[in-house]
Amino acid sequence: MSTELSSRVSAPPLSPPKLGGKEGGRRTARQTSGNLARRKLTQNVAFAFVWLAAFLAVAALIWIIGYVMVQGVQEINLEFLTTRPMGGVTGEGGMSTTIVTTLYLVVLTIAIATPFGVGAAIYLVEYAGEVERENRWVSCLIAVARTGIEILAGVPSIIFGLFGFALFVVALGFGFSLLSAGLSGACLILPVIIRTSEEALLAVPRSYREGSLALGATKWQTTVNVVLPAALPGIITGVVLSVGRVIAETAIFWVTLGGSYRLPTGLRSAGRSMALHVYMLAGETTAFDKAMATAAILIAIIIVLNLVINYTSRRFAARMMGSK
Amino acid sequence: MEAQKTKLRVQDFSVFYGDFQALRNITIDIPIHQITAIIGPSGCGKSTFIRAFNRMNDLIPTSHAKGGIFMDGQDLYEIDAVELRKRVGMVFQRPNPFPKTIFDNVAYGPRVHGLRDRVKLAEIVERSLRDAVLWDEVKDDLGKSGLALSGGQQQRLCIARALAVEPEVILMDEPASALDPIATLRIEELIRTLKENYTIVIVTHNMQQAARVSDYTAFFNMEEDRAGYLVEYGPTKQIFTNPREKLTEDYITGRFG
Amino acid sequence: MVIAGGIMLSLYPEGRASSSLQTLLATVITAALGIVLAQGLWRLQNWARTAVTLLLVAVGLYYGLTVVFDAAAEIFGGEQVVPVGTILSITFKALLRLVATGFVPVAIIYSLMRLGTDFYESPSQRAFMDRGVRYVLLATALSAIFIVFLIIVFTVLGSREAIEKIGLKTMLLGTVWRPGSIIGTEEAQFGLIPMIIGSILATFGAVVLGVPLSIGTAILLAEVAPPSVREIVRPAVELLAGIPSVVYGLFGMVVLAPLIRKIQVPYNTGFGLLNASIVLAVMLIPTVTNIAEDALRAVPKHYKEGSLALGATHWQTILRVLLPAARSGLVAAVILGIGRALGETMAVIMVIGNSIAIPKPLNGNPLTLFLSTARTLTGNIAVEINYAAGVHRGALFFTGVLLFLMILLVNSLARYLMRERLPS
Repeated sequence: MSTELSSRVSAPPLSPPKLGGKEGGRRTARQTSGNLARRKLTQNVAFAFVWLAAFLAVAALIWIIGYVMVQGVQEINLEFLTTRPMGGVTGEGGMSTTIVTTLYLVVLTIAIATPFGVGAAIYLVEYAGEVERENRWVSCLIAVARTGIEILAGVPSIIFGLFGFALFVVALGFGFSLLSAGLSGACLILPVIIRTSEEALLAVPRSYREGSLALGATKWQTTVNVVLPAALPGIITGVVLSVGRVIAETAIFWVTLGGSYRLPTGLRSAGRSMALHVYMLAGETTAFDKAMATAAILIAIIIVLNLVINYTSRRFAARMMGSK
Repeated sequence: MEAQKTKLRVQDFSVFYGDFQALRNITIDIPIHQITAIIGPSGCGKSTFIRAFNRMNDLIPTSHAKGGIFMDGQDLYEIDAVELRKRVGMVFQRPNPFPKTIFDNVAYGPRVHGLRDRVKLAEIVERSLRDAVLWDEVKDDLGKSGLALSGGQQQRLCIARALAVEPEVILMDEPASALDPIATLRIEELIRTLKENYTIVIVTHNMQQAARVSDYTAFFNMEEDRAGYLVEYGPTKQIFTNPREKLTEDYITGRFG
Repeated sequence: MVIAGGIMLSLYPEGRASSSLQTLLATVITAALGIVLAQGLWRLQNWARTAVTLLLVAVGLYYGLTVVFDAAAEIFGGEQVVPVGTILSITFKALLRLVATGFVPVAIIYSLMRLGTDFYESPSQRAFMDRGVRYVLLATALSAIFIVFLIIVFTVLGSREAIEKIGLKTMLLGTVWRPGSIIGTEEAQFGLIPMIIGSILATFGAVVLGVPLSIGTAILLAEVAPPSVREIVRPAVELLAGIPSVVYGLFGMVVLAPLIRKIQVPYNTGFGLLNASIVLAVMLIPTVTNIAEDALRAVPKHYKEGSLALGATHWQTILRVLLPAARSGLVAAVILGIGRALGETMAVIMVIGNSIAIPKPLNGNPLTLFLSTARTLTGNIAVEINYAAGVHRGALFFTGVLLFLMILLVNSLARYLMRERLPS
């Protein structure tokens, strides 16, 4: 017995000590330890490629962000931040009005989309389960709704822009305005809010709901007093994610907001968001430095938002863990 | 033993999940202000049975029931389920305090039923925590999170929470099975003191616990088609020392289950 | 009651009612509502308290937002530079205003909460709330399908004119896109083939460049990297996902274009399919990496352990066991990446040149195809929609419908593959 094994154990000193074991030697007859060195070499090469891939991905990030921020920060000063764009081919002026427009836009889209999104998520998680028993009609409708949400999540933003253009700008006559852009933007982020809220609600342990119902609370009371507070950090994460999305979006607003650089005075005014400003500066003027500066500010905001999201989702996970 | 007044009367009661029958024709009278234990092998429907009393089974979409359960003469399936749960409280196997403060946990029930007076709520919270033998341990910090307590304390918190609603019946589904032996003994002591004011139905897989704690015991078993049925019911002393059915004796002596 | 009615009235937005009759009607209605609410409060009904609280919250938010917006407008609206000192004073004044306007509603809400003693809610009211809420929530859930429905309707309606006047065949198979000739003598032509080819080539390039990088990164994150490295790489990849597309486009214009121009081929402008492919590749890394990593992690542990126990190296295990087992998830990841690349608009139009001719190699070498400029379907819409009219606009809507269908197909395929994976 031992002679058979030792003949197979003809490996160079690289072989791992466990080959002394009983079955290990016999079953790996095909992959004889003779080629272990070669296999390890292949592994090292392959892993080198894998590390390279990840390195390139991270390097791309650092290069892009680094370049834009370094170039852009030079141009950022108080004047740039607080004066408005002056228009014209040389791209004079600052970016002040775009900051305000972006702020309005974010508030508007979140205000419209959040009630619908969180409401839909609550219905799908808490109420939709029992409906199958009662009503064929409604449960069919719900299945369609779920598919609808998935479809909506995959639609590219230019299509939302086109839709917003057709419906809000033209058909309803709102024209290029904060209103059209806000409504279109709300449609864009609705699936995001629904998805993240659903996840947050599903993560709340069933025992909470059971405990509350067993005390004689109605379903709605249970939802408001127990489930929602527990799911809140997760829901907030979703909202912050959507804020990042709205700030970063361009295509949809290009087609519904117009490009006016004036300060919007009401819901019907046109305007220009920061991301749109970057596009217009780069495309229509020679002021690449200002474009970089605006882009740098955008990136800074996104980084801050990402940090916030990391913080809230970690707090959410911790809270859920603590309760188990 | 003297005849006890009946609090809960179960008549020919069966529970189905879709086509599967979980309980078959249960007939039993639960006496008032006594502790009734439900014992039997796992899967025989004990939890399903106890959940019928506060209609928590209704939460499962495919479940439906046949037969009747009556509390003080009223058919449970004709009362509003939400109102029912005010009168029939439940303590679960795993302690499930809400991620709120101790005070808010206990006050949850009364608040949800409409009481907002802070003074009255504080009274109720103190009384419930005293009855659950938890007051002395937490009275200095009611603002602490309910999740920060030990397992045994959490379960007593859940009991206090159930007591705060002032139910008539308390259902307990293996209340001590997730706890260590010392915490278990304290819970058992607590249950014995509670019977003075409440009717208690307790499911347990631990026969010694049933023997220690309860006044009456019901032994359930599972038929070949996995439907649960009542084998024998009687005063605990009699069940454990002189059972009528052979099956009961086999179970008690550990020959199966 | 009168006070309540008065409050209602003052909150009514001015400027909308045109005739005095309308104003009168509005006044009557709001006064009536006010009276009902006040009576409810007087009789200490819980619903009245909830209604008043919600109303006050809405009012408070409205005024709070007004203050914030006014301050923002002051600081940022200007024609002149605003020095730091002024910014600080404006902010300070805004905060004061917030406290002043917010004080009253907050105080009322607070006292309402405190006086909770006798606010009563009967069981039937509770049940009513319960049931009512259910229908409201159902309505919100249905809003999503409603929107999809609207999108389909409006984009299809928009393209109807184009389909009638130009014809499906011409648009789908035509090779020339010349919506309105500047000279004015030629007839407008709406062939989408150049854009379709442009989209396909750009996506292809993006996939060739980006997918290997993404899968490699996914393998690293799932199997190879120690936790400390994971802590760096994963947030980096997530950050990539959040960067606005215009930033990528800007980078492509300012950094990549000069670099590409270094390739010595005539007519090479630095803009074109190569530039777009690189930009799109970086943009799809987060999507593909995320899903590929999930797919790899989802492979049951015992596969990996079985392979290692047989003496295979880690890499062999990854190559022969994990990757095949995660195959459908990986394919789904790639397909979703394709969808992402197809749908991207702004970054692409900034770097691809937007020429309306079918892309061709710039010289004998077929690879120089990628140095050619092109236009994608998405770019087609974005670049022309602002000034298109009539049939032209209809053709652009049709492009949108086409795009929508393509992406729908791609996403459904990906979802189908991901769902198939779960049972295993």
